Amino acid sequence: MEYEIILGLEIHMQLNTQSKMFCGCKNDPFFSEPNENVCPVCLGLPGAMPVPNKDALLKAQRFVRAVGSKLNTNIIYERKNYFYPDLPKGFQLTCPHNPVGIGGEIDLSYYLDKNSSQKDGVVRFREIHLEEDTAKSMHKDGKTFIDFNKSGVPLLEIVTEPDFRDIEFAVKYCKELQLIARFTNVSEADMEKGNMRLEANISVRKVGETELPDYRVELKNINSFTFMKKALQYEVDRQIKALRKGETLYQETRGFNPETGETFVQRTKEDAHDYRYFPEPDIPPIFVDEEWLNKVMSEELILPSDIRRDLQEVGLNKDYINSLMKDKERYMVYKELVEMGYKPSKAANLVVNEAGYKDKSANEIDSAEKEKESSKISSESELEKIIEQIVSENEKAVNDYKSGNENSLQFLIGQVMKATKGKADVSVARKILLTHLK
Amino acid sequence: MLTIDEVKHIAKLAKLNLTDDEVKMFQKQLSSILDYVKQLDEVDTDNVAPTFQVNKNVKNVFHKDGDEAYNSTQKISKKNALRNASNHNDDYFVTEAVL
Amino acid sequence: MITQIIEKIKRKETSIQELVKSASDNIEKFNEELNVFITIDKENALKIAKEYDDLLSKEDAEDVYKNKPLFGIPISLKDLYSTKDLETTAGSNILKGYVPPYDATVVKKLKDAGAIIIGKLNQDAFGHGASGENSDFGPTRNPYDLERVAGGSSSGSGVAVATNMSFIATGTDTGGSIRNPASFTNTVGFKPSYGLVSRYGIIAMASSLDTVSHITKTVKDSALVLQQTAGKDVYDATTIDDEIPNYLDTIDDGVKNMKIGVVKEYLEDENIHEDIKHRMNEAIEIYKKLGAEIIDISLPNAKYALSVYYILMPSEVSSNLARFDGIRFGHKRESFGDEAKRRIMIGSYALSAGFYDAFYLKAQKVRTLVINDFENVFEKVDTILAPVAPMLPPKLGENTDDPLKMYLMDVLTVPASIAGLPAISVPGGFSKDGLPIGLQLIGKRYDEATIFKVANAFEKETEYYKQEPKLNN
Repeated sequence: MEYEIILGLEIHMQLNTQSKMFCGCKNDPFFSEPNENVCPVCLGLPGAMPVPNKDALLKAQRFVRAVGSKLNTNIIYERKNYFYPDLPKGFQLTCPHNPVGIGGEIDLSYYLDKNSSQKDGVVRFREIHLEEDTAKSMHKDGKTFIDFNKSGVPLLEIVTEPDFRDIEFAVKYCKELQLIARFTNVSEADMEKGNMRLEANISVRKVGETELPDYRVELKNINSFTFMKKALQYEVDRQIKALRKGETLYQETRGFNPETGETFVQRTKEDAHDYRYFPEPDIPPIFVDEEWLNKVMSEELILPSDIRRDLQEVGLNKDYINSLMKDKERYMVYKELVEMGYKPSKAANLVVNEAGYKDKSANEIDSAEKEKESSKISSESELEKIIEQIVSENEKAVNDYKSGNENSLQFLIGQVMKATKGKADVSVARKILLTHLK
Repeated sequence: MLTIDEVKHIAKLAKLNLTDDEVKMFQKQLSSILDYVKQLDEVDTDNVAPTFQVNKNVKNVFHKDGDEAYNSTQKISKKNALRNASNHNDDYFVTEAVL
Repeated sequence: MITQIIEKIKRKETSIQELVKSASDNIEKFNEELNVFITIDKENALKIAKEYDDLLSKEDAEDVYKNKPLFGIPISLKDLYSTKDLETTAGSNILKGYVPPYDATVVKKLKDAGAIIIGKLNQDAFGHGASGENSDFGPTRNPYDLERVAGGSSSGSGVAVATNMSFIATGTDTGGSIRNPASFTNTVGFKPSYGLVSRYGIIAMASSLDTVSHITKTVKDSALVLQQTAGKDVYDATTIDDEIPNYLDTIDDGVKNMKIGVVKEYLEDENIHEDIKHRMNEAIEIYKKLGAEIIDISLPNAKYALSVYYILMPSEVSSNLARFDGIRFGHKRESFGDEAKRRIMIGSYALSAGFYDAFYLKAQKVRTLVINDFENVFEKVDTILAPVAPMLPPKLGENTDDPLKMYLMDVLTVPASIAGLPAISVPGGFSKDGLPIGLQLIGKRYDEATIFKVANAFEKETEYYKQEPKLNN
């Protein structure tokens, strides 16, 4: 392939704080009834004033640390001025020039595929901001319906350098950030619930060139991994095709139409917003002094990469590891079971495979297992009676086994388990059955 | 003197629909005001830091996450939130469709 | 005055209902001609007055006033103050019919202190003006001369107090909007240090400059009000956490041996009206007589303050008025008046790409220089004495064709504004034709107590506030 992808990502994640970013309203945009969690501040009423949420800031800082970015000690909120119905104040509060995290990098070499164009597994961060989300608008019948529950929700924005060269790798990056957000209790990062979405900055250049292209296309509001792959691939193909034709490509913003599978122009460079940034007079500067910094740095962090490594070390296979790490709660149950004394493989099996244990705590699973064990029918005399009956009722299976069909034994064992409602001790039942089958 | 195009551009930035007469009037008035304030060019500010906030000692002001009392004093009901909207239904603010 | 009224109430020589009714009668007599109020809440005020009188008949008055120092005092609020369930227009058509779902913090505080809201006052729309002529509901007239303006932007506030429609009238002072109307109506206009009084719920004009202010008849009344409104608010992150002193403790201490600074240029400036200079000179003599030392001072960068103000303020205005999109409240943006549109556009321009450094950033730097000037001066003096307006109250219509001419009214008030300093305008006498002239005392940041003391000394000596406007019934 003569062209390569130059891709940078901006991930937006809603934090899982209890209140919104600049007011005390409940942070629950997904489940609450529309316009239930509102106040003068997040509605942008005249006279309202913002007061930052300390916990949101601490979570943001925890995340900055967790991904390997560097904590900034002087955070200044500014107004990003533009008009849109879902932006009640006519400006968004964000920290573009003095963000929460600056620079740093994350090493995702674990995900490198030697056949892909991504040769370097290190992704560099440009910055990480903590800002406020906009309201939710729904369009129907030529009208727009607006719900302000989402307005003011704390939103983490993670911006990378254009270090991605392969779309699959980019997807893995997003999923890893999801995991980190969940495991550090910063965000649910669930695209379906709307608490994570992304934007991509994409261009292409001839392989061998070292300068960054002089244009980039911004793809906005990608809210699923499927769309991400489709949109990015379409865009890459479109750009390569254009360049091969000799066309010049310009800076622009495009949206993705999932129905047609194509991207379309939303805004050209000429129409680009002039945000007229200036520091927010109502929010005093935030200075992270030594005491505060030390507190953040000394917090214990359990990162997915650490967990993954531990699980590999105890010998669990990739499938188990992926299943355990999908859901933080499930992983914690697994961990507790291991601490209780269960072998890692057994604990993993119980947590991942047993449907009946899906929502149970470690204690509940432990009790259930112990009950199973104690209520196991291992007495030979008891099983003897049941097995006699099974043998007499299943003449065909018995004959099949005698003719050499091993599977019939399994079937008969199954029947014993059925008859004892799963309580029979399998090894004892097998032993007795075999004596009957001679 | 600002040009007509410049005035129109500013009006667009500020989401103000001006009539042609207004554009002409504002062109004159804005230009004279901007000429006056250009007086600041004569002030030497080479090593001067800007003052964005006069209260230099006020820093790190926050509200506590999940503070019930803080929220209960500040929040408003859905009904009260909607009542001043020129167009709304029982649950939503309604406006002309925006692309 | 308020203290005396409260004593009368305690002695049962008057009742709260009588107070409210008297205020209400004055409104009835003079409001139509003077156009002071946008909204009058008479029925509700009388209802509350009755409840309050009932309470006083059952409980110990001393106890009541200990908890609610303004119990029963009729008060009117500038229409920038959000009042729950009471129409709030900011003097503009764009908010006609807007009924806030919440009270501003200061409104809550005043209600909790027992004050009874009698109505919402006329003003230049959104605070944009120095004469009252930018109100979308017609200008307020000056009771000392009906052909003249009442000052602005808190144009209704000065008149309400001057004509006894209210004991207290609240306002805001961003570039002079409470001191100017106080000066034009022979009342006391008080502007606190930035960050002393909560702005939550006050419709914002320029967020780094707005102060929540008030007008009263006397200096002591002014201190009484500040005692209730000052203090940290968890909903306004710019309010300071310091302990609020008791302003009345030192208010009668006099000015002996105090150092009062006077900017010599103001006494020689040909752009300042002769009569105003006369009043300044008289005030200087009075302060000398009272034992103070007058010191010549210089504020070399104060002459740039107006330009700084007219860059910073419109910039913040352009952003603060962006929320008026007609979706959640208010009418379409076309309903903005001309002055609002002017300021929005100047501000958008000053902040726009390519101009931010030359305008907004430059202005914030010159602001630092003005702040430094004041800091230097306050090492030598305790307070600064200066005129409030450079001219006498203009005739209605005199300055309306030239916005820049109107802006020049602010030249003496904006320096203290951009430095965030407290200032009080006190009646300084009258012109040859009987028009009120106010003089201001500017103080160090958070030194409200000193300017109250110095202003009070002057008031005790001159008692100009007793010369009420002559109005025909």
